[in-house]
Amino acid sequence: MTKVFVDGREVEADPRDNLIEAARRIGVAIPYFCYHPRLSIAGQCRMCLVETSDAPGRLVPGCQVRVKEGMKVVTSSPAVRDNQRGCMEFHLINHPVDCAICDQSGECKLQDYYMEFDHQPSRIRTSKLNKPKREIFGPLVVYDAERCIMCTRCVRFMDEIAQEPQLAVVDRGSHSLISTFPGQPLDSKYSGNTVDICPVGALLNRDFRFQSRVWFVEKSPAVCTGCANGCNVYLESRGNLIYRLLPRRNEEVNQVWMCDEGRLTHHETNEKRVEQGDLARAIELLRPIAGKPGIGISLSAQCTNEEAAAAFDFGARIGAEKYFFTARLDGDGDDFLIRQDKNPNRRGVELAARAAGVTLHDSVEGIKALVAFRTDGLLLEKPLEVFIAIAQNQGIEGQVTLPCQSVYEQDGSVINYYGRLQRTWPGVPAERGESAPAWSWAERILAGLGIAGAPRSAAAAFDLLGLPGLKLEAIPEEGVVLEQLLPAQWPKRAPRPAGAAR
Amino acid sequence: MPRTDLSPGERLYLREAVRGMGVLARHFWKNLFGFRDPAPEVMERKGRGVNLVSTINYPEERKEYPPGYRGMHRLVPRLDGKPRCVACYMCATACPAQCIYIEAGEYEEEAIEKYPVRFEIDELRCIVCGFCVEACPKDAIRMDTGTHAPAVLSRPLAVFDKESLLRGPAVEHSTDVLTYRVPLKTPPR
Repeated sequence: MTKVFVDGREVEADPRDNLIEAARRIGVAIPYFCYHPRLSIAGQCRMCLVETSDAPGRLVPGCQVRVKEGMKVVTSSPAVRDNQRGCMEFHLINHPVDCAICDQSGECKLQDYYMEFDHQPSRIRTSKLNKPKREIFGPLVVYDAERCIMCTRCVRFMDEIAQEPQLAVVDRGSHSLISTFPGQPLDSKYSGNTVDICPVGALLNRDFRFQSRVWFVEKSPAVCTGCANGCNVYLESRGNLIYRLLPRRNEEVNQVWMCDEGRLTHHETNEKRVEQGDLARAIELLRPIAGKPGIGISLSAQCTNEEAAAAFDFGARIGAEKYFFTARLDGDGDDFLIRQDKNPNRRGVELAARAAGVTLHDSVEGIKALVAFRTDGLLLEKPLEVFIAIAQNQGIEGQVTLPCQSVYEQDGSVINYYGRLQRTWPGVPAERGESAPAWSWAERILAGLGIAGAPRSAAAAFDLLGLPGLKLEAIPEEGVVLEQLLPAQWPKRAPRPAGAAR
Repeated sequence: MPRTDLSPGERLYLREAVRGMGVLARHFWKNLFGFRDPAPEVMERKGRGVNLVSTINYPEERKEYPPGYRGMHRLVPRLDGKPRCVACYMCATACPAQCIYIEAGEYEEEAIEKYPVRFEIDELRCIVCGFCVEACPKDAIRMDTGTHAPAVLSRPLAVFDKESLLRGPAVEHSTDVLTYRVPLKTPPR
């Protein structure tokens, strides 16, 4: 560790820390636009200039200068404050200040820093520079050059993290702007991250555009259901709608990024939902056949661990003969965050099946009645005598369809491709119709049939998984690695826990 | 506990009762002979005794509201008749009664990209605090109509939509020129 003094206070900093990170360790915020801990240093914005004992009388960029033993850093001297005010004034010279129509307002660094460091009226008496507005960069990103402060975070992200250089700075001086290459849109699978890291409203998400102001939505942690990678995300929701997904930091799963496909997974929760279900009719249909041969249970890899465990418990109590495993079809994968398996919990369902001691079959056949726990990828060759579906979205409907909550709406856990058990929380404030977790429907059907003892809570269903020493409530926010499920091979660039195989 | 706030004279009550009658009589004579300030609304009815306590024959005669009166909302039009509103939700955010509902949309061509597809005010919920007018950064909502929200026969009728709110004289500010300009497109490379 290296000892430095920030504003007179002693800091034990990592020798690789720059001054911004060292100051952050004791809660001193050095302002910056262009610096990002995961990107290369550009030194574009000049906002982080501070005074150090190494260069008395001069200002040095806090993002680029590393700590040195015994170095004294001053972050709020008159010279530093003067520079910050000057920087803000320069950044705002050609900024249109159209906060009223800008989606970034509320989470915009220009707004925050103006209030903190600038707070003076504009002295510019000439007209502002005219630049392209709302240029469509790609399927997910729209660009406004007037709002751009040329921090080049997006350019560096595409070069270094997405490794698809699709953005560049063109033109010079105050006329410079970010542009795509001719005939080449910003269609990287990670393009949405450029919106997240844009400190101002220059790059905006086309999916979220004008849908809501950011201060109306509530943030809650969740796990993305787009693929088996299980990226940690924040849901931003209001009422019974999810407005957008943002990556949540987890160094061992997704660092601070997520893919574009994952960003759009909330549409399944918002649209085309099954809302009402006839529980009495479902019980009526099952009553004559309960305990008799010919009942099958199908469950999809979209189920949470709790729903899967409850499905096997349900099957055992009702005397099911066969169990079927359905899943969404594989899609594109890469060596970073996108897995080919587009189901969030394939490994969890397999684990639950092992715990219950049942064999899973692929194609639904040889049964007369079927209870489907989520219907993703379910194919029925011929009509069944009794078909009860617990489904989230419209599409596959049974004689009775019971509305299932999405993973984003319920308490539970999922296991990702790398054997990491991760908790999800109910992240949508308002309920949608009668929808409930599948384990709740299973319990209510069994209760209607006069069979008691089924799990009545997510925690009780979790205990059926047979994971000794683990409780649902005790799963930490960053998840738990299940040693027995760790893969031998890891994709080349996939973030991984310390000590995992290369 | 002995009462100390009354003087011995007041404790007799008789003197105070006579004083009270005096106050009553003063107002009675003032009102009877019209010594008080005249009310402009009823001055047209000429004659003696026209004053502030004269009856206003509503609805034939109406008092004018004072200049700062917060009346029913209106959405201020631009010169071209479209609302000045850019659906920034500041009014909806500031509204303590949560009576403003906005849905935003996007103009295809204009430099002002955003506009309200729906803008609804529930005048029954509105507590007439005027925070929406204060909050508006575009001078797009005003309460200067000088009328109050009309009585309605059912609750849904008190929800006023964008079309019925968009009325009154258009407003143009000198700074609006900046927002009307045609945005540049990147030249083809």
